[in-house]
Amino acid sequence: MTPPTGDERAVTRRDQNQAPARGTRGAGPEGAPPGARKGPAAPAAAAAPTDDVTKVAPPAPGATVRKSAPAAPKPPVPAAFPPPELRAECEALVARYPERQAALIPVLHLAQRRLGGWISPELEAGIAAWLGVPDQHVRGVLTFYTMFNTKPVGRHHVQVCRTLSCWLRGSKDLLGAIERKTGLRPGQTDAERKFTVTEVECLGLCEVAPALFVNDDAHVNLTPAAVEKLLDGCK
Amino acid sequence: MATSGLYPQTKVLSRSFDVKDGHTLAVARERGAYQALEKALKMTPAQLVDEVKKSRLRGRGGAGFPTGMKWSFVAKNTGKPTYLVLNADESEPGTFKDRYLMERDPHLVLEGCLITAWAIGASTIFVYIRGEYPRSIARMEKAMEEARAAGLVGKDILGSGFSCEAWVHPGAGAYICGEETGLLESIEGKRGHPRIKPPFPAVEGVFRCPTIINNVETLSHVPWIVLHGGDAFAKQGIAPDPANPRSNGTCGTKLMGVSGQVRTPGVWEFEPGITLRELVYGYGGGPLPGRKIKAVIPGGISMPVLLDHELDAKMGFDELVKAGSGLGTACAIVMDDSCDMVDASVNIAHFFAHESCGQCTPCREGCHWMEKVLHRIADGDGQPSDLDLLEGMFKSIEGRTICALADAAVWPVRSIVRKFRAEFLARMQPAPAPAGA
Ligand SMILES: Cc1cc2nc3c(=O)[nH]c(=O)nc-3n(C[C@H](O)[C@H](O)[C@H](O)COP(=O)(O)O)c2cc1C
Ligand code: SF4
Ligand code: FES
Repeated sequence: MTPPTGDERAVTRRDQNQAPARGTRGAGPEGAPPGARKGPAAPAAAAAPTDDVTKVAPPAPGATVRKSAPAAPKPPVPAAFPPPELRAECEALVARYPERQAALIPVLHLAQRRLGGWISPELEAGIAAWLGVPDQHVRGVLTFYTMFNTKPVGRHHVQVCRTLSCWLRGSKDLLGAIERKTGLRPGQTDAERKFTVTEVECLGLCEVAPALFVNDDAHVNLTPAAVEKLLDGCK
Repeated sequence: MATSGLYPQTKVLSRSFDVKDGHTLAVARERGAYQALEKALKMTPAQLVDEVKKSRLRGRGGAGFPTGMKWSFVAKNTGKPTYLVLNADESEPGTFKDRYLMERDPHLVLEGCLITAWAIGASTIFVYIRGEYPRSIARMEKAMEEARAAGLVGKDILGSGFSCEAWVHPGAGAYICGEETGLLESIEGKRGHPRIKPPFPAVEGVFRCPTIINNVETLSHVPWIVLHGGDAFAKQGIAPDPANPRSNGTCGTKLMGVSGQVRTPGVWEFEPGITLRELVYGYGGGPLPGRKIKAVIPGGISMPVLLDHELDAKMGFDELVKAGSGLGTACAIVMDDSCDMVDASVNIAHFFAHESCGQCTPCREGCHWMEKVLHRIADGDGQPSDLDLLEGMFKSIEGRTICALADAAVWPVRSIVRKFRAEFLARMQPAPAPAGA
C-alpha cells in the first residue's frame, strides 16, 4: 500500500474549533473542511475564485488577512427563511421536537440540499433568526459537522474515504487518479466549480472498499481506472 | 468462501437480508413482522423488561451493557415524557452491520423500537442516523411512513391505547455523535459534545427527560425475544463464565463483519462461538493471493490489534478481553504483510485526532500530538525516545477524559507500537533510500 504522506491531511475538527479567525468566514485555515454530502447545484453563474467565499467584509488591499476583527465585519443581511417552497417542510421539522433549536440540523440539511449546496452567511443568519437561536450557535454547529459546507462546492462533490479499511484497499491511489483527472487535491475546488474533492472519514462502506461518494451517490470497490471513468461521466 | 466445514450461520436478524423488497411493509408482514409487537402490547412493561433481562441481551453498540438492566434504570413518574433514542450513528470505522439492518429490514428495526418504547414508557422515538447513510435514512423514513399509515406508529397503536411517534434525526458527519450523550446534544441541535455522567440519560437525557439509548442491532433482537422468550435467547451463544460472577456471556446471535485485506469481505450472522480465525479465514476468505495476515482488529478500529497467532479467541465479549482486545462492534479489520504498521498507526491516529470533539485537553491535544509524533516517525525523522514519549502520552490520555473516544484512540495505537516495535525502530535508522511499503 502506498504510504500516506501528511501533506494532504484534511483540516480537523480541532483546527476548526481553534482556528484563530473562527468568527470570520473564509479566513480559516487553508483547505476546505471535509465536506458535506449534498451539493448538487452550485450557484449557476458564479465563477468567483474558489477560496474567496467571503461576502462579509472582503479584506482591504494590503490589509493583513490573518488578523481577525480589526474593523468589525458588517453582519450579513439575513436571508428570508424559509423561502415559500420550503416553508411547509421546515414547519413540519420543527413540530417534531419540543424545542425549536432541535430542528437545526435537519433544517440545515434541507437548506443546503435545496438552496445551492452550501450555507452562506446570509442563509445562516436567516435560519438563526427563524429558529430563534443566536447566529453564533448556528456557526458553532455548522463548523462542527463536516457535512455542512461553509463555502460553495462544485457540482460534483467527490468525497473519498481515507480511513483504515479503504486505505488498506488503496484509497490513496484513488486520490492520485482524481488529481490526474481534475488537478485537484483534497480540500480544493476548480475554478468552474465543476468538482470539489474532499477526504472524509469512514463512510460505513468498508466491506466494499475503497469507497467514495459523488454528492449523494456511493461508488464502491473502486480502482483508479474506475474512478477516472466515473469522473469522465460527470458533466 | 462459503464452503462446507465452515462454522454455521444462524440467520435471525439477517433472515430477510436477501429477500426481494424485504424492506417494504407488505413483504415484511408476510414474513412475520409486527407479530411480536402485537404480543408485546398484551404484556406489561415490567414483564417485557424481565424477559429481556432473562435473555442476557447485551448492547451491540460496543460497550456490551446488559440491555434489560439499562431499561430498568429509566426514571419513572417524573411528570416528564420519556424518550427512546436509537443509536444508528454507526461511524465506527470498519463497521457496517447496522446499515444492513436499516436498508434491508427497516421494519424489524422499527418493531424493536416500538416494543422497547412500550417497555420503557416512551412516547417518542428518535432514530439518529449518520448523515452519510442516505439510503438508510430514506428506508427508515419510508418504513415509518408505511407503519404510520397502517396504525403501527402514532396514536393508539393496534388499538392498544399505547401511542408513540417515531422520527429520523439525521447526523451530519461527526463520529463523536455515536457516543450516547454527544448524540443527545446533537438531537438538541448543538455541537456533539459528550456530557459528564451522572446524571445518566435514563434519568436526564434528551430535552432533560428520561431517555434510553440503544444500538440498532440491540433493539433488532427484541422482537425475537418477545416471540420466543428470554430463556431461549440466553441458551444461544456463549454462556456466562461460571467462574466469573460478573460475566454475562455473549448470548443470542451476533452480526459479524470483516473488511480490509481479505478475499471476501462482508457481514454474516452467527451464534457466538466462532473464533476470530474462523471468521477471518473462513467467511472472510483469508488473505489476498500471496499474502499473509499480519494483524487484525476484532471490532471496529477502537480495539487493540491481535496478531495472526492470537486469532483463536472466540468472538465473545469476555473471550476477546482475555485475548487482550475486545469485541467492540464485531466487525474485524484485517491487515496483511503488505501493510506498513507505522503508516497504519498514523492512519488510525489521524482518525481520532480529527474526530475528537475538543472538550477535554488530554484528548484534544493528546490525539493530535500522538498523530504528529507518529508522523515524524513515519517520515523517518523519529528517534527511539519517541517511543517512550508515546508511552507517556498513552498514560496521560487514557482514562482522563469525559468520554471513551480518547481511550479508543490509545488502545489500537498502543498495541501497534508495542507489538510492532521493530518496525518503528527500523523506520528511525537513517535509510539510504526513502522508506517503502
Ligand atoms: C466515541 C464513541 C463512539 C460511539 N459510536 C457508537 C455508534 O456509532 N453506534 C452505537 O450504537 N454506539 C456507539 N457508541 C456507544 C454508545 O455510547 C452507547 O454505548 C451505545 O449506543 C449504547 O447502546 P447499546 O447498549 O445498545 O450498545 C460509541 C461510543 C463512543 C465512546
Ligand atoms: S474524550 Fe475527546 S471526544 Fe470525548 S468528550 Fe473529551 S474531547 Fe470530546
Ligand atoms: S473505511 Fe472507508 S468506508 Fe469504512
